[in-house]
Amino acid sequence: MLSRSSETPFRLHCEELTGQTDLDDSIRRQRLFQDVMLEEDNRVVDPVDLLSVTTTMEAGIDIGGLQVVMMSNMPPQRFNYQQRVGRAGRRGDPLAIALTVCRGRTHDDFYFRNPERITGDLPPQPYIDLSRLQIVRRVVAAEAMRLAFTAARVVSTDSEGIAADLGNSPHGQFGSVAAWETHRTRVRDWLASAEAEPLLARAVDALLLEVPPPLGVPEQRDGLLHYARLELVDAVDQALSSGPAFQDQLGELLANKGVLPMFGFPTRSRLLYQRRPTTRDWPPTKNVIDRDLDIAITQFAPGAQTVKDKAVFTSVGVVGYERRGQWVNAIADPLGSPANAGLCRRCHALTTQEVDNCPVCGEPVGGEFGMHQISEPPGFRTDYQEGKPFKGNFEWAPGASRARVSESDPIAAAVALRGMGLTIRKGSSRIYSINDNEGRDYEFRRDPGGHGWVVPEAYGENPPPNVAPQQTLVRALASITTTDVLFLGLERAPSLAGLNLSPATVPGRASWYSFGFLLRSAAARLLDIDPRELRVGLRVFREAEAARAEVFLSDDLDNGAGYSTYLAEEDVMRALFEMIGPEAKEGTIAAQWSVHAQAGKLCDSSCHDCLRDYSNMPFHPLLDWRLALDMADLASGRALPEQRWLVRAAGAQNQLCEGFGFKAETFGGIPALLREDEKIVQLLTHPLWDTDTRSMGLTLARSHEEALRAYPDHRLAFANLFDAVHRPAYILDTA
Amino acid sequence: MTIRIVPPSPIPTPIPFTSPSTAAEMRRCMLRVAFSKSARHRSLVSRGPAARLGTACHAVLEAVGRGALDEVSEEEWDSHVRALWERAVQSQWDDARHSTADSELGPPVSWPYYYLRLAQLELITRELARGRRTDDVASTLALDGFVGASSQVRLGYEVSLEGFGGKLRGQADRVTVGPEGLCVDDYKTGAIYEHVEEPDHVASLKEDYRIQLLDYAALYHEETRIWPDSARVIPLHGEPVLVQVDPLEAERTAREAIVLFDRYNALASQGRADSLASPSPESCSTCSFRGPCDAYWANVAESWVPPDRPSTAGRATDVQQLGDGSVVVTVEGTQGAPYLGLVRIRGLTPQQISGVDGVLEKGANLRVVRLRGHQKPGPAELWAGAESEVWVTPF
Repeated sequence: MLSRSSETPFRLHCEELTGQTDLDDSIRRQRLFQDVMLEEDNRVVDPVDLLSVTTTMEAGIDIGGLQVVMMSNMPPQRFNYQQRVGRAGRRGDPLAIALTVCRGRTHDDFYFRNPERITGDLPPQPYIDLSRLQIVRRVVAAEAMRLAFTAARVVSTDSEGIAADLGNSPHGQFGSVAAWETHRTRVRDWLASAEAEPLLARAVDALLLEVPPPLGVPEQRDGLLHYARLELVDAVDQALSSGPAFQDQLGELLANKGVLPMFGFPTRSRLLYQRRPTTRDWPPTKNVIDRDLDIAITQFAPGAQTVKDKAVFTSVGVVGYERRGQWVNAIADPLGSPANAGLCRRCHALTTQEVDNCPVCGEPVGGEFGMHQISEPPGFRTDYQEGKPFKGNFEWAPGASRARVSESDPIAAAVALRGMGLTIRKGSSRIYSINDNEGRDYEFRRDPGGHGWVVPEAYGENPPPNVAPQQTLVRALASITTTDVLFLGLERAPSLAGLNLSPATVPGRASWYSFGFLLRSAAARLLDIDPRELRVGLRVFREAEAARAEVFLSDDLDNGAGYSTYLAEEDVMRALFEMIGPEAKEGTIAAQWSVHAQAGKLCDSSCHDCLRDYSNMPFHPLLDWRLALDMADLASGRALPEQRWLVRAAGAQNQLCEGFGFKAETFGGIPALLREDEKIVQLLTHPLWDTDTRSMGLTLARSHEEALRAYPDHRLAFANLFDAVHRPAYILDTA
Repeated sequence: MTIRIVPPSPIPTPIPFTSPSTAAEMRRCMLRVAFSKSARHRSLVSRGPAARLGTACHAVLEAVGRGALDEVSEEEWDSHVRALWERAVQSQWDDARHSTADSELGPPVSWPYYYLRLAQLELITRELARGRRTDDVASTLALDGFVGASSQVRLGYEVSLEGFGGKLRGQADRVTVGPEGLCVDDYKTGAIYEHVEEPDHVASLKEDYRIQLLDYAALYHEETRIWPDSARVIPLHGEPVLVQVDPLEAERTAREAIVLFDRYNALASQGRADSLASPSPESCSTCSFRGPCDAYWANVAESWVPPDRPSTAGRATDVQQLGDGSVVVTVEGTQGAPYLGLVRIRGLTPQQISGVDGVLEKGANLRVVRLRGHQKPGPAELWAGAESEVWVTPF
């Protein structure tokens, strides 16, 4: 274009300024973008004209006045949009332009069609939560441990009995996990001593200053003090003995297990080392990229590529470094001791026991069920070469699984809520995200230079020499968090007869996830918090010879604020369901959603006015407001309102008949597709109806019998209305 | 569901008469009749929800056949059928809860085919009621064809029949006169066709059912001196199956039933249970009493057992509870099929291996039936389901 244009060439110096930019570069680029030049700068070459930024530049960083802001996707909400476009047009510029390029995804599509929503929706109110006991208890625990380790003059020793430091964990310098046994008695004795009491009381009083009830009351103060003095050591013991742990430092382990605070400390983030770190730059601030572990197990997995500063870096393995005196050394075994994990792609169960078949659906190993050895790496590494120039493409990496809870991990007994169809369990659980490389795992070999474990295939055309083939570890990568979790299931009541809620079916999974995001949305309203404070996932398990599911809500922030536990209180849960339904009651969510689906504002599955938002984008294809309300009705003890779907049936029948040339029929009030050429009668069913003749409900059974009598020489098949709405072409294959 | 102790063989006692269905049972194995006449053995064996729903279906059909819903309008039909159905099923559930083997059956709506059977009943009872309204007129007109015998003819529903000196008795579900002539109908709630796994096989009526129809025809002749022209099996679902009545064959099958009846009573009067047994693959594969039946275990061979219905008996060498709560039992199998030697049974529940006397332990002598096929290639590994029965022999 430029070669054919008569326009004068102009300079466009572009630089990246994001969370992964090295600190020195970040400050300099910010300065150069604002035309602040120092002596060492070249005034012709160095000034930056265009910054490529991420959300880290959304607020709090002064980059001066801009003329143009271009966004390469639609921001999550109005306030994000406002912050970003608001960067342009300051400082008296008469003209400012904001251009948003929408991607081909559901979130962008919605706001492209409804631009007034991204500019005019009400922004959420900021909040500080002073009501959660869990938060203050973890802080009390951290202070109590600090006081105890200091006052009791605990000194760590290494394996040879030589005095060693207590580590550098930002959660508290409490030595290694292995050394706890030697510290334990002194810590316990000091915490229980008369000397400790006033110090601990002062800490508790300071934390509860100006805190309103229910937390700021004398009983809570006494309880916190009692916990710090007499229960904390037991809590530490319990954390050490419960389930797999991948942390060496006691402070970090206790934060991961929910005994100490986590939020604000970046120990769940993992570095991708672009170069071997040195003592001069320790802890490293250059040549590293950090990501939260949940993301790192995908984005930094061997073979995955990351773009930074116009260069592409390829991850090849895992590594961890530690400083010992004057040296920074690679730790001996960054993959550590593995844990078992079985992942089933058929029923979506996770098990942590070693088995030959999926314990939920029976799928054998080698089928859609796979057993893996999982590790939670301390860090990741590239090939330690210069990055390759970015030419617009980079390697896609298989993603980690959705958050799951193991069917075999200990779990509290379910409690049924009287008068409802709901069961709840609450308690601390481990939540797993696993990257099993699409079932193939990663085959790690020991790096000949001693820098962790690498996957030779990840190097591409230039694999490293001297990789010892006999030292191979096959692992999947995991991110495991321990947090408070609320599980919600449906009581096995006669009202569920004739329904199929199995997570092994697409409508079944869709109904559970839709239910989960409905609950999240209602909980956010009830608690006046951002919905993203709560994570939604599934626990798939076996009961009464069938695959069953529960949806879980957990605090999304590390160690959370205990919202999920609070929601488990019976009064709160009942209030939550009051807020949701029934549909006939004015002001309920169900009533609002029913209206939003009516003509003019037609929502046939889900939209940003019901279940969708930016944070649950991967779930958008599954989410459906009708299914969510169906599940809420069942959970409330009401019968399934079949008409919610069946009013949609006639329309779906017409579309399918017109689209595929079928004839319309009706049997027992249920629309059907007559596929004469194939001699098939296909009944259009409610998505939650069980179509197995052994367990189908009466409405479908009547239709089934009438169809068979009317067309005895035809084969009978089913097509559910979820598929009719979400993926009509799939119906052709289901008969 | 719990572990069962193998009781001594039943002590047979003479029976006052036989019926077409009892005769069918005797043709397979007379010991099955002895087992089913023994309340103790019957209570140990699960009838299962399918059989219980079948009984409930018959109860509804019988009630409608007797005119219980003659005054009910079309609009109210389904609700009245449902009321009859729920009453009949409730009766079955009550019976189940008082039994040993079925006491843990869940609520009837969870029983397989619960709603399908109800939907089928709603339709078939409509036809039955329509028949009741029209049969009287049609049959009276048709009766003119039975010259000189009309006074003997018995038409209607639930017709009691008796013959052969009172030794053979039965109750025909319906007797009508129509285009096919005089016809005896028998309602069946389960599968009515022989199961043959051949791609081009044309389904044929179960031979047991055909012979039962002939027995009814012979009984009808005994009662009225008139031979029915035909007999029909009417299933809950699908077309009725018509059988032409050959008087000679019907007479012969009925006589055979009497011979079996006499033989049974002769052996029963001597208390000889073992002599009643006729173990065979055909007979034993459908028998509920395999667990306590010594004759089965003494004769079962690999060739008897379809791959999906294994069984094993022997000493338990290991009982292990897995992390998921399921139980694996290893048996040193000395009887059973398809495996002998060490057999591992997976998927048992703790309930299935516990009883009033405690939990199954190593060293116990077991009989395990109604197992499922092995789930993965490799020998001697079987899979248990909820229907699997664990029996312990006392010595």
